[in-house]
Amino acid sequence: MIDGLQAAAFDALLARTGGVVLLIIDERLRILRAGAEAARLTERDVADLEGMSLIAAFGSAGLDAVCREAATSGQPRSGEAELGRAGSERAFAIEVVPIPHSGAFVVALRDVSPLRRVERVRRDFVANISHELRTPLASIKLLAETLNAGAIEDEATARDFVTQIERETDHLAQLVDELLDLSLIESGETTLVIEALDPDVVLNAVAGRIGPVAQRRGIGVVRSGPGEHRVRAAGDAGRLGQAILNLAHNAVKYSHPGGEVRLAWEPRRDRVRFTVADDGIGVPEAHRERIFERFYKVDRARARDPADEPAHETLGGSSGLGLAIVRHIAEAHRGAVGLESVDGRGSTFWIEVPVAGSAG
Amino acid sequence: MTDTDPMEPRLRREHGNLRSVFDEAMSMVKDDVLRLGALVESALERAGRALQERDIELADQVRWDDAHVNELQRRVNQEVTTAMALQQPMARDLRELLALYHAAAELERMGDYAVNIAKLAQQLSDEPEAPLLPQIPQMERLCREQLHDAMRALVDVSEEAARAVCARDDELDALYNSVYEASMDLMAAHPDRVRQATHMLFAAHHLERLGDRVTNIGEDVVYVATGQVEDLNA
Repeated sequence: MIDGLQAAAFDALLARTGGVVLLIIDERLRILRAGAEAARLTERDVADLEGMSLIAAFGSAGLDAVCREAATSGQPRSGEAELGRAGSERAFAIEVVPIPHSGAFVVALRDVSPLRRVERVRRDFVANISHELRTPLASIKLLAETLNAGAIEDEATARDFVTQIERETDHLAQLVDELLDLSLIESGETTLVIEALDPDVVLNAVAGRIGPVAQRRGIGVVRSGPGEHRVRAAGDAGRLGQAILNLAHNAVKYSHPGGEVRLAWEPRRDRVRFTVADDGIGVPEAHRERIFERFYKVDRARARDPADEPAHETLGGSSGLGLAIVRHIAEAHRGAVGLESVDGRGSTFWIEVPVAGSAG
Repeated sequence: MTDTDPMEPRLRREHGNLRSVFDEAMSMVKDDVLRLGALVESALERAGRALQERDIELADQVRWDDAHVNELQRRVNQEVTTAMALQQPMARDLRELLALYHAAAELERMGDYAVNIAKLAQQLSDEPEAPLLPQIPQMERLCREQLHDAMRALVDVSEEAARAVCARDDELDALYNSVYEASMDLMAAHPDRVRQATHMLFAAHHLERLGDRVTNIGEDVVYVATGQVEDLNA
């Protein structure tokens, strides 16, 4: 068993390793000594932990298995397990090292959940981007092959195919543009040119660009604001306009024909809030929190259905990057984005930027 | 550690302190039941993830791993039987062994529900992709929280914690009812999604049943603590 000297060494170690959960266990997987971090993780007192079995204290099959392997082999073992309260577990790297001639083992648990989260985001990103690039590429390849195989002889078919190739190419180009845009904004390499902007002017520019697209779909665009005012928004005219236009594109895309998209703004304490509202299909509650993430789509089936989109019309937003860009633009302005929605009855997206002259 | 005292009764000399022998056997049973709980919790988490992420391989893993659950339950049965035969426990000791025996059986059944959910995940992945009803991941998470809390109540033999677990089962029932309504609506509005809606309804049903089994473990803890058999899932 561990002697006084070893216990003292362990206590000294504990004092110096903040953040790492340390334990000493015996070969029957009972806790001989535990540190304050272990107590915090298990929501128990150190005194309660000592003498308790590992499984009783942590309730983790993974941790139990790694320690059992070390105990039966007498060799160091490592692994990983999810520990903590059910529903809010975190990933921990486990190291189990035998203390020579004592029958005891040091168990060190290090929280690796931030690392795992980053890895997951990266994995999802690669998977998504490959999927998004492959789909239009496969279409283009197929159309070209069919043309080559003889369809080129028939003028009507050939024209239709070439139009489709053009549309897919536009989609690819848009995706690549948005990706570059996003990486520029995310890396902080773009410098915003902040000016004092008249919110009405900002919205007029957006309305001017979205109007014709909306009109072709039989959707009205309505503008409103507080009327006479002297409020100025501190923003980059190009980027802020791009963000609101992205929201407006989505509003048009998810509106029913005959519907209405409402662009408005209002002063809110030290910020100016621009809103884009529609009476479209809405965003189910479960998705609202994640909708501003890259590639997050509420419903893949409805997010990109080419039959939905009239030819020659790049509505955007279907890459799954549009809202991520909006969020990054808002954050670069030290502003915020958000959404209020009733499933099936429309959404109101908003973006806020500081009022010109305010400290924020 | 200590030298043998020739004056000590022979039985004690050979078997150590009888009380400690029994305690040792009891803690072995208890640890195995807790291991069983941890395995089921992990199976449930993975089955839920397989459902959400349409991950067929993960679902397969859950199905294979159920063998460990079954094996561990058999071991608990054997340990309990041996302890009863050799130690002939009385009163609270007997109650505790019986409760652990029963809890192991409940956990084994919960493992089967996790397997059923894994199977549904595989069937759902054959269907066109459609969003999962949001209540289902909520139910899965609540089930795991409940199971975790019930196992903790078992460790501490805490009557209070056990009663709290049983009381919370209503939340699970409410979520189940809401899945029922939502899947009926889905079927009515999208006849092409009837299979998906049915699979989701079944998944919710298994989770609701699993929750009931968790309350049975809560009742076991109350029985150990008080000696009273109560129906806490009325």
